[in-house]
Amino acid sequence: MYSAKAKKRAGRISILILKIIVAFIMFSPIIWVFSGSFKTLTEFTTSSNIIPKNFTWENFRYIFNNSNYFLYVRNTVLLMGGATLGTLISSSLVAYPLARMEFAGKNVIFAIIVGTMMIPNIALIIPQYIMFGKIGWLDSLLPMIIPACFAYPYNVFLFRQFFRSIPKELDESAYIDGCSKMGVFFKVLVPLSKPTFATIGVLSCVFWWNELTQPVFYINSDQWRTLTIALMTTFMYTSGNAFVINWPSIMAACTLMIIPPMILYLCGSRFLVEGIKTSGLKG
Amino acid sequence: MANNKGSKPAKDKRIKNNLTAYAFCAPWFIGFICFTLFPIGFMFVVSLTDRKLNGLSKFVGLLNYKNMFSSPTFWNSLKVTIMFTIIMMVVTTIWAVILAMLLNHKQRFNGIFQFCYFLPSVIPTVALAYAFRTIFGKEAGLLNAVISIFTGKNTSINWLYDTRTVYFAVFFITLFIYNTGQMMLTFRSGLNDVPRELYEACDLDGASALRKFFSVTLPMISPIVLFNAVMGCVSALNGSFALLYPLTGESGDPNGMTQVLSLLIYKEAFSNMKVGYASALSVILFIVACVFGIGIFAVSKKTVYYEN
Amino acid sequence: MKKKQIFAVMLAATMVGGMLAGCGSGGDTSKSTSEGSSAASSGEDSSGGGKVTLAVWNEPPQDDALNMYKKCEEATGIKVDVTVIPESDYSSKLNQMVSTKDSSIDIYVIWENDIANFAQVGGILSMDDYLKDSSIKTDEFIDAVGKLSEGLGGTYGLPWCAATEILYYNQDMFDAAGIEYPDNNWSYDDYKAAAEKLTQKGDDGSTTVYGSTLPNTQTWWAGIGAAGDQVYDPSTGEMVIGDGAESFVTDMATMVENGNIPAPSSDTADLFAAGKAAMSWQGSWSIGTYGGDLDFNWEIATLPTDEIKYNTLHTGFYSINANSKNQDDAFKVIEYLMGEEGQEINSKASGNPSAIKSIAEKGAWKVESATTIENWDAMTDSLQAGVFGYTCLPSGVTNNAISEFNNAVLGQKTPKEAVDAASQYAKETIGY
Repeated sequence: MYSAKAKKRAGRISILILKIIVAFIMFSPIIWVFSGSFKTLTEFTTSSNIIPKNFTWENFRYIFNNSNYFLYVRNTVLLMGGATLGTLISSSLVAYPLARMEFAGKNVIFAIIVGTMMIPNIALIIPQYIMFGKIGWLDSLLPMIIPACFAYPYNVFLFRQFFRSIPKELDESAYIDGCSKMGVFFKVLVPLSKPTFATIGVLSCVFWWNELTQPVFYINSDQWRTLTIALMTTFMYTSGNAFVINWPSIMAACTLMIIPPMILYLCGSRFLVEGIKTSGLKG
Repeated sequence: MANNKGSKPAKDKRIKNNLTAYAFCAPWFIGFICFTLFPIGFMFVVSLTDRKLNGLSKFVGLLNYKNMFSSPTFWNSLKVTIMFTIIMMVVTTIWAVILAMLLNHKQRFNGIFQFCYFLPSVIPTVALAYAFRTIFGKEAGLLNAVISIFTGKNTSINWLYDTRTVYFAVFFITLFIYNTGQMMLTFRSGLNDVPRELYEACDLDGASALRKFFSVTLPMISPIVLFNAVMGCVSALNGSFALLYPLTGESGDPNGMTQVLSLLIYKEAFSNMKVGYASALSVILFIVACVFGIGIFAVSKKTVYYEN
Repeated sequence: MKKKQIFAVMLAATMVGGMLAGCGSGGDTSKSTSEGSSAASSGEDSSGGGKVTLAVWNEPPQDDALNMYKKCEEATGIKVDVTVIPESDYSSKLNQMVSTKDSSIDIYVIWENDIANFAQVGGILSMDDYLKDSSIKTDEFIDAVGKLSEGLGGTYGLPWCAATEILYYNQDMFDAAGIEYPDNNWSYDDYKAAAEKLTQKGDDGSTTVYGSTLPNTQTWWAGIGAAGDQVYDPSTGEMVIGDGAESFVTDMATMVENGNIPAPSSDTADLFAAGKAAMSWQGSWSIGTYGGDLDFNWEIATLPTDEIKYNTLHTGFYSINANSKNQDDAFKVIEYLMGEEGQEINSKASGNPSAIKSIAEKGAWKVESATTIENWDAMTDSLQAGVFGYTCLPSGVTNNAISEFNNAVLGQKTPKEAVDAASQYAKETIGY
């Protein structure tokens, strides 16, 4: 009996050790980025210390003084806010009849929505690029914000799943009270699914905060660069020489970009973690 | 009342009901036409021209396809895309299960562990790519330093430029992306739903931990595993650009070994300005995605229960 | 009634869409917000004068005295906003802007390979009318530079400098190894021998200090040209590499294998500046970058001569976007930048001589902070030997070739395979 207990204890400890090792592995890139942002370029490229020998704030000063950092933040927030708001409104509207109404062609529409979920955006980006070029939207945030205002299939899908879990009786009693379909949507569904809106909103924000692919294709000038693009352009090279990558400056910019999701996790892990979990399950 | 055939009010109501539903669906419909259907058609048309980045184009028939199919770069890229997608799917799924099982082992500090395990997946992929470009660096990389400490020898492996190590390095990085974190969380709740009695029955039989995993856990969470895995396919197709473009560049160094189709499309369209050719490549990527998509449907129909 | 409500919702949805669109494009037209936030980097708004945006690939110097754009603001009263697009994307992004008739940038600094194309499609303005009564000395350009913009049927661009490629070396390391300093007649064999002697290895055989750095994306072509290849054929516009490229790539691969040169790696670092490599082939503009910042004594020489003396000339052309709304202001800015003062500051900051002979002769390019340099003749000699080579090829082609050369250096392909693959790719792309 005693030995079995000891064995169990040993098992628990070994699992704990394993957990700690894995935690180190998973967190190592973040530590590396943080430490790199306080190094000088020479130290960064010649040694792999975790604790910088010559601790310097120069990289952050460089970012704030020598780039339009707040412009990039503004662009990113604008993109994030615009796309999120657009997709929340449009996707929830589209999901409503799919979840709560019976109408001709419902199954076809739903099948198409699920089908388009599977098309990777990158496959259609070239024709979209030409199209947006023709209507003069390139080099702005419009090619990313406007499509978001016309319902993303994935978000429609999520909203539909959430709406279906709300009891139908609520609708019916609202109808009896003289509510229209519109009224039901705004007075019954929306108030009941506030957490859903928050969840999808948070997911969308995380997505757009991190999005690189579309801005790489659509944005040219400094004026509309998002933070992800700025990371690949503005912060990348030392002044005067386009061949020496300014790693510490990149690391400092990465640090600044990592902090908001980190705070989001610490403060709103309910929405973030629960949201991602449920969206993954329902998806 | 609805069965009251020919009854005018009922028919009117049905039409009205349909119209209301369509009105709600309108945003999606417009978006679908403008941003999906039209681009798909347009992509096919452009792929038949020699359109350049400056907009000049003329009809060349199937020439782009002919050139494409005779280009070793294309075949390499197609191979890399399919391989990358499948391996990434397998690797990230397995890792997510491992993380979830570790976290589900109820212990102190689990909150801190989840923070450490999950945070990398919500930071920008481009930040991860740059972090790993230097972690895997030859001269002053973290990994080489760590190995040097453990082996006592001066290690200088050129992780991302050596054909023998590049795949290890790249797939290692995929353990940190959003998709892995998402899967980890879903597996956690999936694992929690496995009835405790099944484990207790196993304990009575004196089954080993490994046996418990394969005979109880895995069958119970298999629908989530399968579904997550196939969803990973799509995210691998879509997300590989954001990871690989800052990591190994548009040529997919070394020797095109990481040049997935999306990188090749970008390179042909924007570095070489061959937009027509890039469209032909996009058509192929689209077809690859469709094949994976159909696979997902086939699999999810069997494994995932859609309440209808 | 229900329908009305639905219409209202639809209307609201469209309005939200419109609002967001307005949000997006609103910032486009009213530049106040961006200006406000960029003021930190570009100084106070000069009231009254206009505003001009300029696209370039180098970050402007942080020292205000060496920042020609700031000086230009002071002199002309026109605010100059600099958009930096990294070299790797520069040509591509400019092509995109020209093809979509983008008007957000007024002055492009255009590369050699793009100017003819941009002039043809009407993306840039002929400056002939402006030049008639301007002070720019257009008849004094260095011959090779002047020739480049011939045959376009007008003056579409003005060369902002004439840069070249040179050998940088660490004098301290040469002293320690007891090797004579390179001079401007150094041969390629001298270079290889020195690189081997300068290499320092640790006990386990791994290199601690390299004899030389790997050529960068520019100086690869200098080595190939010196080994006898034409690189660029102006009459056909094709890339011409063959035996020369093969022998140079083979040499580099051998030197990497012997540990004299670092292999290409993902954490691209300037090993020369870090004191971990004794020699480096780089553009002349690095003189300005290094200035007095290096911890050791360093000097320059011309690139070693193999079959012939070869290095690539570099420039960029100031040109005005044909769709720009501030063309007059843009020309005023160009006039300043091409004038005596603008050229002088550019030379001082970058170390690149002016393309205008009479200005170049004054020697502002002898960077003052680079106190250890005596061999300034290296620059004039290099300029004389320099030709316009790979820079006239599409950047996709040259980047692809470099990637192939790296494959060969890493032993993943034979040099011949790499060179053939690069040529084949160039043919497919240029002929498209």
